[in-house]
Order: sequence, then C-alpha cells, then structure tokens
Amino acid sequence: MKAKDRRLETLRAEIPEVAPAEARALQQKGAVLVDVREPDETAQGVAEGAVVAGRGFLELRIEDIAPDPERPILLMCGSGVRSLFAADSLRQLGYRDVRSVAGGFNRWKDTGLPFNMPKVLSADARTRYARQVILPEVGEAGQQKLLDARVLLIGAGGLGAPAGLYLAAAGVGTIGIVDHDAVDRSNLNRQVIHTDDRVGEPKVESAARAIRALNPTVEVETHRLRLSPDNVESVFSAYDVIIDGSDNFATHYLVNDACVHLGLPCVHGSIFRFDAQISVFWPTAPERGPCYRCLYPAPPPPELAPSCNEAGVLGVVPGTVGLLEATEALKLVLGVGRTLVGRLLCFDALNMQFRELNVSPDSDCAYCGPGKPFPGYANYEQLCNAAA
Amino acid sequence: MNTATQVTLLIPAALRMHTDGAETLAVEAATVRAALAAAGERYDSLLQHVMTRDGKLRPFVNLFVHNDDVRRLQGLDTPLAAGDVLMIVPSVAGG
Repeated sequence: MKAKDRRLETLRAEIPEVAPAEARALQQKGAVLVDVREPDETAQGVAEGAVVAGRGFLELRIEDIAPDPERPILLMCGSGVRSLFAADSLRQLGYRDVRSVAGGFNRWKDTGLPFNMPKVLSADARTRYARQVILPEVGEAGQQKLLDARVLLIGAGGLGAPAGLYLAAAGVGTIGIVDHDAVDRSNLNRQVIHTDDRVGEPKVESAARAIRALNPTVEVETHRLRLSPDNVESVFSAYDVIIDGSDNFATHYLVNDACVHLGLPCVHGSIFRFDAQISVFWPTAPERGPCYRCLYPAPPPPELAPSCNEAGVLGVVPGTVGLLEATEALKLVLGVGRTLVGRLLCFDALNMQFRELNVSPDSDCAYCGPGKPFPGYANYEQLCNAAA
Repeated sequence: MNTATQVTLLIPAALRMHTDGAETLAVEAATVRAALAAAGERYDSLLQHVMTRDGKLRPFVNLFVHNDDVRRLQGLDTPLAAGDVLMIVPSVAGG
C-alpha cells in the first residue's frame, strides 16, 4: 500500500464523510461548503452556494471565509479524496467540525443537486491580474465583477487621467470617457494619460490610445461631446458608476442631477490649488448618502469662484485625487470596504493632511429629498453665473 | 460674565487671498456666528465670501465643527468651546 493510501485510510476513519444530499441539507442549515478544486476544474461547474478556495490557498483564505472555528465546514473536491487531506489541514488550524463530501463534485452533479457554471478568467487575465486576484477582497469573483463593470469618466483631464489609467490596469471591462476638448501642451503637467506627440488630438482619442496600450482587453467608449441636459441621461444610463473629474461648477451640478435621477453613484473630486475634496454622492445607496446639492445647494457666482486656470495646479494634487476617486469606484464595483458615502474627505497637500467630515442628506434637498419629484434639469450656465 | 473662548478658524486655500495668506485664525468667540464676526472684523472680504449681506451662510460654503456640518447642528448659533476648530469648506470645482 502506498503511503498516501495508508494516510487516506487513517483520515477516512477520523474525518466524517457526508453524501452530497446531506451536505446540501447541512449547507442550508448554515454550514459553509468550500470547493478546493483547481480553476480548470471549477470552470466545469461549482455547487450552488459553494465558496471556491483552491487547495493551494485554502489555509491562507479559510479564516476570511469562515472566521468562526465552530462553524461546520464541508469540503468538496472532484471525487472526495483531496477534500480529506484539506479537512486534515483545517483540523490542524483549529476548525472543530470539518467534513468531507463523499464523491465530491462529480457525485453532487450526478445526484442532480444544483450547480452553477462560473465565469472563468482567461489565461491572460489570470496572469495580468494575478497580484490583485490573490487579495481576499478581490478574488476571481471580484475580478469578474471588475471585468463586467462599466465606469464612466467625466473628463480626461487632471482627475480623469490617473483614474482612467488605474481603472484600466485593474481590469474594469468598459471605460467610457466624456470630453469635448483636445490635448494642449499645457495639460501635460498633470494629465498623464496624454503624451506630447498627441497634442492637438481629441482627449478622448488620446486617452483611449493610452488605455488600450496599457490593457488591450479594456473596451473604451469615447464620447467626444459637451455634456448637456439633452444628452446626459443617454450617455450615463449605460454605466454603473460615474467618476466626476470635471473642472467647472456647471458640469458638477449637471452630473449630480443626472446621477440622482438615474440612481447612479457619483464619485466626486474637485481641487483648488493644494486643497481637494473627495466624496461619493449616492442618495439611493443602502446607507442613504447625500447628493452634491445637499452639501452645496447652489454654486458660487463667478466673481466668488476663481477658476482652475487662474488658480494654477501642480499635477500631483489632481493625480492623488483622481486615484482616490478610482479607489472609490473600484470599491463600489467590488462591493468591498467602506466608501465615502456620507463623508467628505478634505485633502490639504501643502500640509499633507486628510480631514474627514460628516455630510448627511438634506431632507429638504430639491433633488434628492424623500418624496420629491425630480425637478428637471436646470440651465447650468445661467445657474453658475447667477449671484448668490 | 464673559463666556468668550479662543477658537481656531481653518481657512481653505480658496479663501486665503482674503486673509493675507493665513491658514488659521485664532478668535475669541462662543458661537459660530461670533467667530465669523470676529474674523470679519479683521478680514471683511472673508466674511463677504462666507455670509450673505443679510447674515446667512452662503449656499456654496459649509462650516464644520468637530467634523459635523453646523447646518445639521444649530446653524450659526452652534456653540463653540475653548480649543474648538471651525473649518470653512467652500465648494471648489477644479479638476
């Protein structure tokens, strides 16, 4: 008898085995079913409700999957052999109730129990995203969410440039870019998605080229237009998350109003010299956050709001803020962590200070107040030129 | 009895042209309104950017005490204690 067979004989005597139907019943009572097979095997189907954690990373991931060592764990492999070895490892980690599913996934499937065909990462994707897929907060399922996600950048400027590059690097499947402008040499101190040889090109085309060069698997949708009440909903409605990287009040208000009306999360960033503000405005979030108008019901008149062109900008400030916006967008897509919904992050680059302020929904807000009908779009240019 | 206490106003970059570049202002005040008035005595144009002529907070400026918006507290009558920091946060639009 081979050594592994002798060991298996011992394990079979020590580790309880359950038939697939019994495993299904235990799963419904709260036991966690963990599939320890390799990716090429799970591509052929995974038991409904099972958590996939390949044998190689099982010990590293199990405490994220089942933090409570008292919770019953059911281990499944292809035929019920590797799951016994896996169960032995988990016993040594302190898990008290570990069982192996006899016959593994093959018998589960033959018994007629439900299973799903998971979307699997291509070999290219598995390599490209290897360093983030091993994060428990991402994993293959999270990477698939990123690949399926549609994120829209408003502006391919100081904020949109770094955000676009990092969203592409992370594998956001579809990135839309709205910008009506062309690349100017004076943009290049901060808009790092553009290059000197693309001066004069439409920014959306220049940004698309940079994204495709970095990650050819990303679908880039270019919208070379100036956002207006007439086109904003037709553009926005195709996306899951909006990143507002615009540089003027009229667009911030238009973007806010459209996001409120469509129920979309708006990742907001704005800067003035070395100061910046970042938040996620999303009144329909599970935790009911404010919209931009809850915080700033009206824009300042031009004489009280010096423009960015007059103010000057050092590229690292929008660079930092654009990446904070990209971080929030990725968290929203992945459904992990605590986003900036209900918080305004104020960044003071000169003193390198971050301050977090509580911002709450205004029940009287004309746009997102409970029970208030959408008041329609405003004349934004006029709104931003009015005295307040 | 004088209940005034020393508090600090944090001036954002967008308003520092009204405070000769000062990032902070120390004033004696027991309420947010009094703190703004005291700052306005030194820098009239700062006050004009924060308050309307009829003494209301402008709709594009927020004030925070202990990280909370004074509009959600007692507005300009929100009391201040010694050592409190009043943060002025105007909307900015650059990108």
